[in-house]
Amino acid sequence: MPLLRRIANLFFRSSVEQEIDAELRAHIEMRIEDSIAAGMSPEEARRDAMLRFGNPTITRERVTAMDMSLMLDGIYRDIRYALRQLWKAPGFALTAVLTLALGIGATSAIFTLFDQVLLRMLPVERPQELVRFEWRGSFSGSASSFGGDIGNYFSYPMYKDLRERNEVFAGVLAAMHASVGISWHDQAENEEAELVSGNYFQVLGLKPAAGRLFAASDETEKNANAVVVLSYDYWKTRFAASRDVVGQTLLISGHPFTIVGVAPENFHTAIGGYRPGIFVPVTMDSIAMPWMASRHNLDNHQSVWLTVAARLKPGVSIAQAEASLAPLWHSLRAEELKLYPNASPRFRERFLDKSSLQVKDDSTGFSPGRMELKTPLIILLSMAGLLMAMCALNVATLLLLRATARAREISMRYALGAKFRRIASQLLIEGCLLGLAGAAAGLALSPLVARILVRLITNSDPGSEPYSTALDMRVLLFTLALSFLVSLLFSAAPLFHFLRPDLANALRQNTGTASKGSQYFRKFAVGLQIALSILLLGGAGLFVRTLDNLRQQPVGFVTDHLLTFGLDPTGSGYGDDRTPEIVQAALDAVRRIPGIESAAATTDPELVGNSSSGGYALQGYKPAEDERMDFETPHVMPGYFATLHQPLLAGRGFTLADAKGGPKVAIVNDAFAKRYYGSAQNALGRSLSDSSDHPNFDISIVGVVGDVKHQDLRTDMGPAVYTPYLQQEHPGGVQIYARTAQKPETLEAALRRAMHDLDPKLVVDGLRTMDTQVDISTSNERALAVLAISFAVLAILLAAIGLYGVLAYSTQSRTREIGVRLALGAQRRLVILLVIREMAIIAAVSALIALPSTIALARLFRSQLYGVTVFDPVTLISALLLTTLVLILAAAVPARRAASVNPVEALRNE
Amino acid sequence: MAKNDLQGSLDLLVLKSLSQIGSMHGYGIVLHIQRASDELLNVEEGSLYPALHRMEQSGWLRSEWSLTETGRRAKYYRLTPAGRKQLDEAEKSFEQLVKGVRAILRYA
Repeated sequence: MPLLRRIANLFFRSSVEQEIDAELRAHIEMRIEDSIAAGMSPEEARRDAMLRFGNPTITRERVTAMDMSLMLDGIYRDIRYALRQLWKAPGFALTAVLTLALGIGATSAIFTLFDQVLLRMLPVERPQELVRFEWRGSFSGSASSFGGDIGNYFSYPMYKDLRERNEVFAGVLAAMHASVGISWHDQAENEEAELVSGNYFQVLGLKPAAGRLFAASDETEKNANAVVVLSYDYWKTRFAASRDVVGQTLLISGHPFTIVGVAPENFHTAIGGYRPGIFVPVTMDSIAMPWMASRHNLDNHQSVWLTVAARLKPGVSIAQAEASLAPLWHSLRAEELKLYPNASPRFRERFLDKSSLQVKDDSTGFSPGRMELKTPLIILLSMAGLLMAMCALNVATLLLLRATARAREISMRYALGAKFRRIASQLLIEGCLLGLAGAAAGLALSPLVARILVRLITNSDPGSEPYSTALDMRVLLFTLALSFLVSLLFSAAPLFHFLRPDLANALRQNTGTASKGSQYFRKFAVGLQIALSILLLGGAGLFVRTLDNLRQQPVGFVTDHLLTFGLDPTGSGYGDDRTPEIVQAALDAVRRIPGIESAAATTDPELVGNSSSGGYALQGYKPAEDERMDFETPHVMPGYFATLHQPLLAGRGFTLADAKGGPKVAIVNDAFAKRYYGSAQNALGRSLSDSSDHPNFDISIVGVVGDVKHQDLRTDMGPAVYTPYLQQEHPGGVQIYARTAQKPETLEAALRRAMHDLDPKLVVDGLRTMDTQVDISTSNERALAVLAISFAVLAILLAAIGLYGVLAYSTQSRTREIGVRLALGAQRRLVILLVIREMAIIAAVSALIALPSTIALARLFRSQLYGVTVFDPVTLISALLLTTLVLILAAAVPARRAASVNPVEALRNE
Repeated sequence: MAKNDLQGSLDLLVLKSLSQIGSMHGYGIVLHIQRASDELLNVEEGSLYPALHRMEQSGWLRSEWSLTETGRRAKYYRLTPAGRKQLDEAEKSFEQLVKGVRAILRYA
């Protein structure tokens, strides 16, 4: 906090001391001058002056102490006075504090996330020394990516060369994100994992929470290091933080691994954007992730999959490191080029000469999630800033209102000799107290908002959010700083009011009046808020209608009474040969559960954003040049269409006879049949080939099914070719669907038990009802709708508070006028009109501005809308009506008060 | 009676001096007290300043920096209306103190 102390000194201590010093010095020097003039020698004069003055240091201390204690005493008295003032006006204080709490709560919640995603450094030793590698240049081979550009990923041999042949790094680590099946005490589940190099924890400088962490000896050779380190959170939730687990064995993808230790508490990963439960040596890749085995990652230069980070040696800069790596990179690439014997000169050039290795700052960790979340978070934080500004504006309005009512009191204090500084500090202290109370309430609100936010924008299940939503020191400091700044701003508004008070006038009048300027400001602020709430309500309405339209979509199959889960036998140690029989056994077990009508499986799950496509050639059809003959290619088990209630338009579905050895068959969807054969009936009996180079047309179409929404609710599936799962060479994991007679939720436990009984190693992944899955698939739309609604509700609340403030003020200051009018026979109805007429005009003007702005803004978001135009009259009229309703409610109280003025009392009071 | 301590009399001297000469810096106040008391009262010069600052914070004095006749920057003090009121009270209670002390001295 050195900065804060310097600022404090600037304001208090040092400036005070300097002034005292100057004053005392002036005194002594004047004495010396006089003595010299009277005939003393300069030395004598100085001695005499000091003698008369006494010890100047002690005097200065005493004077300073006097000033400081009096100043503190003054502040203390101001605080007590301010508390009393606020206590006397509970309605005002509560409104102001709640308004601030909303703004501060929302802003600090968004900052909680913003800080974690974009700002915070990794919780490791000296994070500023960490760097990350990225490469540029052409590439040919396979890549496995967790997100971001392919240049973020390296092959294992390349990583080892970089690690062992550089001179600028204290250590180089590698890591890869993975998802594995874990089985412990016959309980299996899917869990995020990180494959790491042996030196991973050493380079990061981490100490174990229990047991030991990996060392270089844990990365020796392929499949030789069956050890695992647990993350602290996983250890706590899954193993109850028991130290006994060290040394025990758990199954990863069906293979035994020994638990050697637990990672430290606050550390999650060097990659970021997810929270792995376990760490596994990188040499175990083909066991932990069997589907990667065919790539032979450990000695394959042409498979990139590792993120590589390093710690700089002390004193080495990023530029120096990059420069020193350039020749090494060039020679390594030159060696790799030998793998491409038929490379063209152009390829050589791009592969070698135009290739470069870049070193980037990695103090915050590599996070592909950061790239995706950056823009939404910046937008959210700006919106929160806008909201905060509106809150501050409202509180400023309320304070102004109050200041006007207090004009007499303050003018009186001026007249009694109070300085502007004293009055200013009084008002500032009142403002800061409000700000602090608002911050406290906002902080209570913030974690709740943050949790909803994290779930919305990362689309995670409760309990497994990738970001923390708890308050920490940084968020606390941010919130305090924010509330302090805002307090200063809104306290300043009434200050201007009193800068040059018109004493005589203010004292003479019984009720003060605000200056013209501040009245305009207030009305403008309320108008702006009304316009904003119409705008936000309109936007929210469009998003809600979009969501509604999507949910009303016919998807092509029946989503209710349908349970679904993922099952991947290869993740539990089964090979290609045994996988189909396990899938079949699993389906049989599911079908045996009472209450389940039918069950089937596919490799290409519905409505999860998944797409797996493949090329087919059609007999008798000549594709045009550049015509893409790629289709969605789900491999399904018999009974799939019957289970989903996807209509069979012609022919037959698959049977158990459609297996290996039997004639190859396919079922196409309506879109496919219509495009290539004109009708469903026409498609039957036609032949396809899954190889376009040497087509043998050995697959015959035996059926046609209806079209469905596949990836998400917005897009049609397009032409699709379904083939039997039992005829696949590499069958792989499946998504199982079960049609239930009763409420599907009630069968979840029985289903888990059935799978567990079949084989405890099997992981039932993401078991949920299809309706839930549909919800998840529209989660982005829902997030947008929820956020827009939240902001709209806040905006309209603020507008209502603002309107209330302005009307309450004008009623209060016109009590006398209203009394006179009533005494002269005015009708109460007219009096109400008098009070609200002006604001009604302002509201109407705001609406006139807001409606076209809503339409203009909605056009920008058109791609996010579905089945609704930006001119949607239902939405716009509802937004208007709702705003009007809330505003009428806000205006009702002051209007009633105006109408119920008792003329006799109003006039007597004057 | 309670307020009639030594500090009270220093306050009185300062307030009275300022009421006589208008606006003045600390050194000038010391000189004025010496001169006006026919060199009978010698204030310890340093101890004047805590009193000046305290009275300023109490709102009895107002201060500003300006130039002396010899062109030096010095902090000038002047009485506020509150200070004038305080001076009246201090004078009154001092008169009472003097009366009381005299009465005791004459008693015999």
